[in-house]
Amino acid sequence: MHDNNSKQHIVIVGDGLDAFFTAAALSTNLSKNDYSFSVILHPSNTKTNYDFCDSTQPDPKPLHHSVCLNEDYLVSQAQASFTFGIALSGWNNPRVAYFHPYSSIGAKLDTVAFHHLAMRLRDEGIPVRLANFALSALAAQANRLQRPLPNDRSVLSSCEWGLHINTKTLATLKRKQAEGQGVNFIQASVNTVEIDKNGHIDSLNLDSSNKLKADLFIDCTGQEAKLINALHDKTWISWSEYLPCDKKVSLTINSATSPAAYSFSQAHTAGWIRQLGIQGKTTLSNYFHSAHMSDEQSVSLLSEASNSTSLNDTACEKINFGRRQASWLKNCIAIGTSSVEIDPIGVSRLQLLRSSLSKLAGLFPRKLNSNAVIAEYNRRTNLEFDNARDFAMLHYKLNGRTQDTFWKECRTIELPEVLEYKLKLYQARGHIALYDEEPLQEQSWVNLYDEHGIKARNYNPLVYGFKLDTIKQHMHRIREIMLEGVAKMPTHANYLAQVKNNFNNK
Amino acid sequence: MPEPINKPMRVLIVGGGTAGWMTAAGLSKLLPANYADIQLVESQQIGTVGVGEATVPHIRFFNAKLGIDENDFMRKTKATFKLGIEFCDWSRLGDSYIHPFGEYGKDIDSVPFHQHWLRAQQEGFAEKLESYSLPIIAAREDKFSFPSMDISSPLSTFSYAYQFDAGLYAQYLRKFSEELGVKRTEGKIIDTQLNSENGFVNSVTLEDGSVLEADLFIDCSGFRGLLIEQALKTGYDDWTKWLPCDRAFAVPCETNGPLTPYSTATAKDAGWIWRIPLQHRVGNGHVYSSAFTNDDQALNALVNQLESAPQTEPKKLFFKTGIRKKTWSKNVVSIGLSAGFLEPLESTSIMLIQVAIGYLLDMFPDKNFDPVNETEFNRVLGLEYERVRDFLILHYHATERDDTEFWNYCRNMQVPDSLAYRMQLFKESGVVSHYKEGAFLDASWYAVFFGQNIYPQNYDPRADKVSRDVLEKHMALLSNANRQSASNMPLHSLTLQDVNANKIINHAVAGIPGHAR
Ligand SMILES: Cc1cc2nc3c(=O)[nH]c(=O)nc-3n(C[C@H](O)[C@H](O)[C@H](O)COP(=O)(O)OP(=O)(O)OC[C@H]3O[C@@H](n4cnc5c(N)ncnc54)[C@H](O)[C@@H]3O)c2cc1C
Repeated sequence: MHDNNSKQHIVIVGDGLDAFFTAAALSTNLSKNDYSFSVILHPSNTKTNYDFCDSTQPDPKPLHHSVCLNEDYLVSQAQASFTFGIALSGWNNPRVAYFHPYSSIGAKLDTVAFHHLAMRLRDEGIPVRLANFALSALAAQANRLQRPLPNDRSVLSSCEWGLHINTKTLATLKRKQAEGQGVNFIQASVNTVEIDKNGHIDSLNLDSSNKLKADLFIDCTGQEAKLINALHDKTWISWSEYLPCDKKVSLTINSATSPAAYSFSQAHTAGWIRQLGIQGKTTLSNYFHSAHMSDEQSVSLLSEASNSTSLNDTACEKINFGRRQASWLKNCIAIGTSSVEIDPIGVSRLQLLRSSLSKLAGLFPRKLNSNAVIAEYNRRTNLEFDNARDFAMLHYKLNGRTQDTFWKECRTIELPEVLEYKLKLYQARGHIALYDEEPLQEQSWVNLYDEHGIKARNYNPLVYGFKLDTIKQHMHRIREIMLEGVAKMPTHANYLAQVKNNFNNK
Repeated sequence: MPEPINKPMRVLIVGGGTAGWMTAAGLSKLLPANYADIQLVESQQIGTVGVGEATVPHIRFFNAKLGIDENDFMRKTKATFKLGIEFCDWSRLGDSYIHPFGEYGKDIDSVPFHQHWLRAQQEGFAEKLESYSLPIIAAREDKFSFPSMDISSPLSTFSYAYQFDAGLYAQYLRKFSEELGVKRTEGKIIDTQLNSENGFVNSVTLEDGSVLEADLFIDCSGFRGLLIEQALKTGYDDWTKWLPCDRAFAVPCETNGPLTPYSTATAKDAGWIWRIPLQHRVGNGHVYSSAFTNDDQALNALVNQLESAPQTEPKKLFFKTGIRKKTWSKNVVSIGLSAGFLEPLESTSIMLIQVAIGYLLDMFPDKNFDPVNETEFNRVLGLEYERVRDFLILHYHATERDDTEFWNYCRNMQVPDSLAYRMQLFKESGVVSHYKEGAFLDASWYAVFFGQNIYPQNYDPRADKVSRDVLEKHMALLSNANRQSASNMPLHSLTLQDVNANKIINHAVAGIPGHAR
């Protein structure tokens, strides 16, 4: 392949994690003999706080190897820590908290899903909390942690986790990796985008008065969406009617304590605060609705939550949740925030970035102008974005806070058709319908409905095939094994130390 | 909470063909003991379609769920093992390829094996794609042994199904179901009573005047769709324009050729002929389009190529490819031929029966018949049928044959958008679009695409990241390991002897790499 064509040139525009991760992933996948890469470090025009921690979630399967993270390295060298899920408080009721575990909940009995068994016991007056049967919830609660051994076939292998990581650090690492793989970084900003007669990007005019041509342009300019907007300016689908928060403010502070192995999502009168720790640092972000909370109120709430007074550079930013109608248009692909902006209550931004890159890596065509490939990329990413949005919006729609106007309004949100249908199916019989490209699996949906007080009128009648005692014993056994397993795990702090030790000794 | 525990749901299965008895067995085994009261009515006078001998690996999961002993089952249904299907003359006269129940080599650096193979082909060091598939090599040598769970072994790269006497299978399941309390009634239904308010089926009347009532009716009455169509008038989506075959002759003969661990589907002037070896005979049939040939020609084409004299009068069958507009309507769930028909080219009918039973169990109703159960069942089953349909159409459409009107029609026809898109994507990139529903996984699509000469314009650029040396060695090792494994395998006939002597220790249902979920 090396000789017949000249090299294809790929230009990535952006200065941040989106751009650097993209550059690193593509230069891992594609041979230097056939492709050349440049990153134009076009400055971001929005005030993004780069010193910001985010989380990944369990790897979607199959995840392309080029977007896998080297966990041991990141924990040892980049202050990352492990996460087992999300602790949510105040969503269903101001005083009630629950856990969204990343691992599966319980285990099937024959063909019957666990939550149907739980519902049966509840009918007998026996209370069951689903997360009490999720390994990651139990471990998180005990502040213990261990990834399963590769050959483990026991319940302990059901453990699933993600990482908390400083996105600035990750960006630096990805940039280094990309540089090492031959990617050229150019300090310049894009003044104008020139479109050719076929509606493709012809070239970029840089402030250095250079003109840059390329075969493929990747837009990682965040909200500005400098390139893809030049192709078509009405392609942003706003989700404001579904995801009510329209502003956010973030703050990253130093913290001396060992990080929790989960993140916190605490609802307040007009939104929620996300708190997420890595080794030595914690990021707090307040997502709120500007009609119900002023910037000052929002910042002071954040300072209260963080016990911090150094709020000098915290300014509230507007957010516009939504996605592109199509993230890949002609010879331009929007990746990262230029392609989708999501309320991170369910699926994080970093997770969607990795997943999009994984999809791109799996589809990257030799001939860039391949219509079906473009359609397939857009089909897969759009489905995933919408499924993630649907999961996020249920937190608002199904809130149980009766005092606040904001939350009352949220309950009137009209659900998109597919979500309406999914909810109806659950209410009818506890059935979870999963569609193509779901970022979260059955347990996440079941747990969300359950913790938000959605009762199924009915459940799978096959439950009646088991004697009550059989169900009880089954559940008891699962919990015993899990608790035993958790008791043997090291504390999170010790485990982090252990991982670092092993890594440094290698 | 579900209430019907005091008064069991009354379930009436109408029909005692493969669909009826599989449903009876599945429900009686998997529904809670007192949950349902299951009856089945069938008419010997009407009989069953009496064809259907080849399966896909899904059936092993069905049997395993029922707790059926494999040796016993194989002996009683005269079953043989099946590693795939050989397709002859489909893309061009003289072509032959096998669609195996298994994968080609494994991904290298997240790049699927076939992409590396395409590169190796371009660079001149590739063997035939078949060499990288153990089940194909074994099949070509008439070998069979069981897959292994050890993922480092080449034996872990395939799965298998059966070729059996479906009539005997139905009898087997009848005994099984009756032992679990299913009550069978012999008699011909001559009338159906509907509830005048909601249009639900209340009861059916038999020829002798007796009336059978039920809460849930499962229509397994075959093509006629006694309840779903004749009583409820649900309507039918006709797919004949994409799959023009509408008739078949079927006839068994004595085995006089090799005992192949695979079925053969040979394309003919206006259809195709199957050969399915069982233990005691060979099943043969000619599926054809009445718009492009006539019955006499079709029958002659079949009989003339038999390996021995016909054992019976050839049986003539009529069908219309398509699906009921709703496979579940009100309190009637149709399963089997009453739900829809996809021609037997990829042996999918029994699998679709099984899939429908699985979805029915997922969405099993109570006496309130929440319409959401019906909606969800129809949604997912509809997707399953459509995706099998597209897979079948590909066999006809991806052809270079121009020797008859039939093939000209197939080559030039406008295929469904969903298939056109899949083909386009494959041609552009070698990628198979992923869906959650749909029985055939990527490896099956690769097999048929390549087998019918649909090639990507170029291979995946990421494959170039692997050095040529490494790849060349890797591929040579793989094909050698496959040849070695195949040569160590016993002949299919010998493995069958062991099964019949009950020498095989019943093994777990192994995973099905690269094939069915
Ligand atoms: C040519 C051909 C080849 C095939 N090859 C394969 C194959 O290789 N693999 C595969 O998986 N499938 C194959 N099939 C499909 C397979 O034959 C059917 O899916 C399978 O037999 C199930 O049929 P059934 O039970 O739905 O219907 P039938 O076998 O037609 O059974 C209908 C039942 O309903 C009863 N009945 C009908 N009307 C009444 C009435 N009024 N009163 C009482 N009882 C009634 C009948 O007595 C009978 O018991 C093939 C089909 C055809 C046409």
